[in-house]
Amino acid sequence: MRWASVIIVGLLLASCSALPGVTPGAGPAVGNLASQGKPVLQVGILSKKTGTLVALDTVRGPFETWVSADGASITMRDGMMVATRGLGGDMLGSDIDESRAAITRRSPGRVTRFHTFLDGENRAQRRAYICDIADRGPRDVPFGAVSVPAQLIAEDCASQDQAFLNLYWLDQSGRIVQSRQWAGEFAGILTFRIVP
Amino acid sequence: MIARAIRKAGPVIAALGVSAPAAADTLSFYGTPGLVDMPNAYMLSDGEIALTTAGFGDTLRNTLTFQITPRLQGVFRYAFIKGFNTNGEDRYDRSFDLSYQISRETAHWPAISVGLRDFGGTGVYSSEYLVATKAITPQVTVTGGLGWGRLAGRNAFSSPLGAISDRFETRPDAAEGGISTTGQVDFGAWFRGDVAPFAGVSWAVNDKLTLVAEYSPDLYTKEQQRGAAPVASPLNFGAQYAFDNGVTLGAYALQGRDVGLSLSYVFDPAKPPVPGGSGSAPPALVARDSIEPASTRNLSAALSAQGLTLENLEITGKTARIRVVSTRFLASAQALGRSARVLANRLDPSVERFEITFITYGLPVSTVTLNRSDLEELEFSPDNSWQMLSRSRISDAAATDRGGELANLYPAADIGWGTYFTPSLFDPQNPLRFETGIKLTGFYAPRPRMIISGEVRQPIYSTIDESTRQSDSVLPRVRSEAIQYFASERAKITYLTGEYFARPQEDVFARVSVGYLEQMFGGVSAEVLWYPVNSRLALGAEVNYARQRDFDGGFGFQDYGVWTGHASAYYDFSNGFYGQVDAGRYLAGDWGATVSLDRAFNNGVRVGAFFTLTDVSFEEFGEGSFDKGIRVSIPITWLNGQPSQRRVGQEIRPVQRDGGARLAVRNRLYETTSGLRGAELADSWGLFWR
Repeated sequence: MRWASVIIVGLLLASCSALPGVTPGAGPAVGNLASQGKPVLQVGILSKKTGTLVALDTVRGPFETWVSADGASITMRDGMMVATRGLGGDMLGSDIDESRAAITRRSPGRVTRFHTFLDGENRAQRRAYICDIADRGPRDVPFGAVSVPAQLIAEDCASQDQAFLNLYWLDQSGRIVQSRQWAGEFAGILTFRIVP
Repeated sequence: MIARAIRKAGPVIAALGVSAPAAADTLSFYGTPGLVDMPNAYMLSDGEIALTTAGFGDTLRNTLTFQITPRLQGVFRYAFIKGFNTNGEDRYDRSFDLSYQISRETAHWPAISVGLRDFGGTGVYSSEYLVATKAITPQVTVTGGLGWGRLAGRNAFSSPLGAISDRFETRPDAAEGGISTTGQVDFGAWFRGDVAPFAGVSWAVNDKLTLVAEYSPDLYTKEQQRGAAPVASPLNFGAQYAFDNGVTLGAYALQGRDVGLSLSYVFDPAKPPVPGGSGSAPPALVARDSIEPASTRNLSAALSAQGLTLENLEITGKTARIRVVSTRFLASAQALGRSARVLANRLDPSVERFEITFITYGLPVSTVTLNRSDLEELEFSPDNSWQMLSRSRISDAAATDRGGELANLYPAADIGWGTYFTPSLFDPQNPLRFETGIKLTGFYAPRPRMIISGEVRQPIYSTIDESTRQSDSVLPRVRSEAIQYFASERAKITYLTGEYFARPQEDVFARVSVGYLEQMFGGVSAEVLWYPVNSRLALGAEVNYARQRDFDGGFGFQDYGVWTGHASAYYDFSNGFYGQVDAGRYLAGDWGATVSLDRAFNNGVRVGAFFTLTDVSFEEFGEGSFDKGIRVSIPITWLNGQPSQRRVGQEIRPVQRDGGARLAVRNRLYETTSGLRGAELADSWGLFWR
């Protein structure tokens, strides 16, 4: 088939289609961490309607870094996401101090938050967001047979070119027991739930 | 799981960063923005690559279009025309186009572009055009233009340029000089001779479907002269359907007698399927006061888990100095970030400053000095990339002593095997020939910077050896008998060399290579490179004595030997473009220079072009007139998101002749060191924290 072989553009990409899509499980196995008594967190990926467990790997000061079985990590501060590594288009860093203060105090109002994302050309892209924080009232969060009374706080954010809605369910001690938080354009919305 | 699930969320092809083509971004049968067979005045988005295969009647065109800058577009096309050659054989035609957008579209002004089609190929598609396109509603665009050359068919009239000079009134016959002159940049004919108008309209029915109609003056005269049916109608119609994943499928009715199909794929190299990749997260920093200092062995293992080979470790007071080889990450900034965090998690809490030196072939290239407390402060902070870069110092690493070298590193040796695939393009009888087989590679390094290495290939299946192409070269046949190196079915040595690398002084690198340097030549090669660590400019010089090897790939040599070498200048324009000029003597003994220009994305995708002019005349050179080509290189990590330093790519020369042929010695210093120098470190610094 000479016609087929004429397609030299195919040649350029021929090696691509045969590429392995394997993920080396370089991260510590969650099962191990859980069995070692490390705390775990349920994480869901909204766009895919799938979920997994992540285990607490490292705590440094207020920063808790949780890792998944395939080696991605999410760093939280007081239950709020501050950074991701290995999700793609990662949130390299952030300043969520104003949001965090308003949400943990459950005080509605307008705050500013900053995210820095990694783009496809290995550059850090900084974004500032104006966020409106609102108290949406009491909600019960079911954990198996029991349900925990919680307060739902919404954080509605927008920058010039991006917008997202984060939701946090705080129990009576003020701890975030469940949340949905935006991890950037690539990773989308993640949901978190503590495992009691 | 998370990374994997997110990755699946966007099927690779959909995530290739395809801006869903705006309604008017249809590609023509020539693979460039246009209607059916006619161009329009639009461009792709900056940096985008469009791959198109389109066929109708006896013609099949495969086109790679690259948007070099926002207004400049470069094209390589490989067309197949059945029975086109005068002897009735099929024609495989290679052509290059350039087009430039003179004015951008505004509310009241059309986009206007000028194009040169097939300006340096074998001349089948040789034509020029001036075209304007304007959207009259968000869904409907109209296009009108004037074409020269091939496009000046139906309703052609005398060129208005004739008013400027009589020479524009007639077009010299491109085929005058026969095959030997093809490939010359034929600017003598550009915009000369009659012109004919063309026009078209496109209607975006919705986001997916666009209908196009055009009036084409192209009479396919050359095809008709060789037996194709006459064009029955100047009107061509088409419908294009754009899928979400960047693939567009088109169906057409052409020339009042044919139907055609096209398939195109547009992607933006700046947008890999997974930005920053989906490889494992780096180790998070642990609290410094909780650290138990690790043994050297444990430190080495922890670095090794990040694809870093520790060669030297010295701790004096509050400073730790390490030398590492990065073997996993394409971007050295990422390897640097990993090294720094491993050190921060393993070294005694009293150590405050890290000096991390990257080495390659034992050659220290660059040292980055950073503070442990900055890592701790910035790990998750909002501006951590810029702040970390501004607090780090990138310096030259000239000292080549072996201080702090780990025990038992040298002598080092390794051996491994793999498979190989060598394409041989554009044989007129079969445009894609190849050889595939298994290869055995190995090295032995008695001490740092001294490497003996080799590769043996055993062909298993080859179609290259079926080629009957005979060299008609009047020059020493340094490359034109390449296929003879594929004739033997026995194992062959692709290279077997001893190499020595050195840092004679700050900012200077040196290399000496001896042995079977490449498949066709062996000899001695010596090179020096001046390359200050944060410089955009590097200068090099290389001298070789090369002797042609036997065709069987054994140890023997033929009679031909030559002194060859070049002075080279490398320049990083720091806007994504890299230029290189190599001036000197080539393998056939000809003197001249090679000019290369590449656009390199920070993520490692590179697209470039090069040409070589030497004192060999166009006649002596033969088909193609002078050496030229394009190259595309894509990192594996761009494609699958997994860390890797491997690449796929291809250098495409329309023809490989003997003039302007350079020795293909391995491990030239600039390509060996530039990834570890200051500019490349800084360019991908966003990966430091990744």
